[in-house]
Amino acid sequence: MAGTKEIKTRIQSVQETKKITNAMYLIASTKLRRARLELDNTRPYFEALRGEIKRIFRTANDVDSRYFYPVNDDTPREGTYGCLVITADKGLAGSYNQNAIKEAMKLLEQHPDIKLFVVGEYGRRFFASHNISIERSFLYTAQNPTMARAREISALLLDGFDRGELKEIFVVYTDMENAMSFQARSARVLPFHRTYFNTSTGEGAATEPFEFLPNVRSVLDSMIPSYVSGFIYSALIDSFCCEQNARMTAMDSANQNAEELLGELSLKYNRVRQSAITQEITEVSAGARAQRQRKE
Amino acid sequence: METFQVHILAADKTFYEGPCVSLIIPTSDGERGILAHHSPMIAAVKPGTLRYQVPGEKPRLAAISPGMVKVEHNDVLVLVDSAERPEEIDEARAQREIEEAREALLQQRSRQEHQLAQATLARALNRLRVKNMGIGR
Repeated sequence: MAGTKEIKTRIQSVQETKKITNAMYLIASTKLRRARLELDNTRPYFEALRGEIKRIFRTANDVDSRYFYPVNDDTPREGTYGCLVITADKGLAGSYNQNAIKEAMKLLEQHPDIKLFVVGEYGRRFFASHNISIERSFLYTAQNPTMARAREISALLLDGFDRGELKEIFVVYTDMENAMSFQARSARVLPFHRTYFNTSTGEGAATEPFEFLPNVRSVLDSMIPSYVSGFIYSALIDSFCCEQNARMTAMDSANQNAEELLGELSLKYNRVRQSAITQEITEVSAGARAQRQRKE
Repeated sequence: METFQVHILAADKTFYEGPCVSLIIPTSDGERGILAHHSPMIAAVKPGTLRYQVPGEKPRLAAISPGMVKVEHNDVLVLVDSAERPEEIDEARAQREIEEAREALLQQRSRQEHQLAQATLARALNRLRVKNMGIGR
């Protein structure tokens, strides 16, 4: 049986770890609250923008743009794809990073010719250690998603797309379904597919014809970059929320484990101490008795 | 004056939602004024100054980024990357951004970085202009 001293050090180290996990839990919960507020602020804009692109599709069905699939054509394009993978900068967030990476690997298996754009240190390290080349990685973005950063990333992706280097653009992010569950997803951002927009019904069809100024194409051309940067921004924030949520859950269970471990250890410690005391008493009384017997 | 509903949504917040008498917005082929019962329209918005008048008040200004405007059923929807009131604009910051962007433009860098710097410059200049207009009145 371990001595009292060993158990005491063990208890101390568990307590110190618990302090750290508890602090991380609190930090994650405040960050989550802040990020959620930001997400709520962007939602109306993003949903309106998405709705408008949908409407333009319906009113102007014959519009031809490089951002769209040709009508009635659903075959995946040939060539290099671009994929933005959003991971966290740090681990200790349960299965959050693994799930995002698994999703990205699935894409890579289907279509090996992918240029990776990675957000977050964790993803960068993973791909580097598995000898998968990364086109570009963005650091410090995962912790602090801002519109400016999203604009930068989307400018980079759109530039590749416009020059024809990237045929399709995917984003792998983690979506928060509700407060407790989240899921890694891959979404195709460009090019758009009509049916993808059309299937999700919700609003009535356009009743009156719109006047497009100066024309449909240039309206779309000015909307698409906003849409892409908006999409990336909300994906970044969504992922950030999930990361914090995952970390909160992970730290919460770490706290519980520490609590359990502490209970066990203190029980063990008390037992050891008790048995040591008992032994000491036995020794003293046995010694005393021996001395008395010798005197008589 | 007849009014119409206007929704100005920026990427990071809902800028203004409510009744409006008139709205002047910079589009890709010049500034466009919108009054009540405007015919249905969708137009591309360029960075510039947005002027809108809430009933019974002085016209208000805002610096806006590119986006789009939609008019339908006496309901105007303005979707832009960012929208700022003159009092929200930090003059020193805008000035600094202008200088940084000019410097970036001078350096011969990649096309994409050049475009980014140009967009930043346009945004910063526009902010400064709106700020000065807001003080001038």
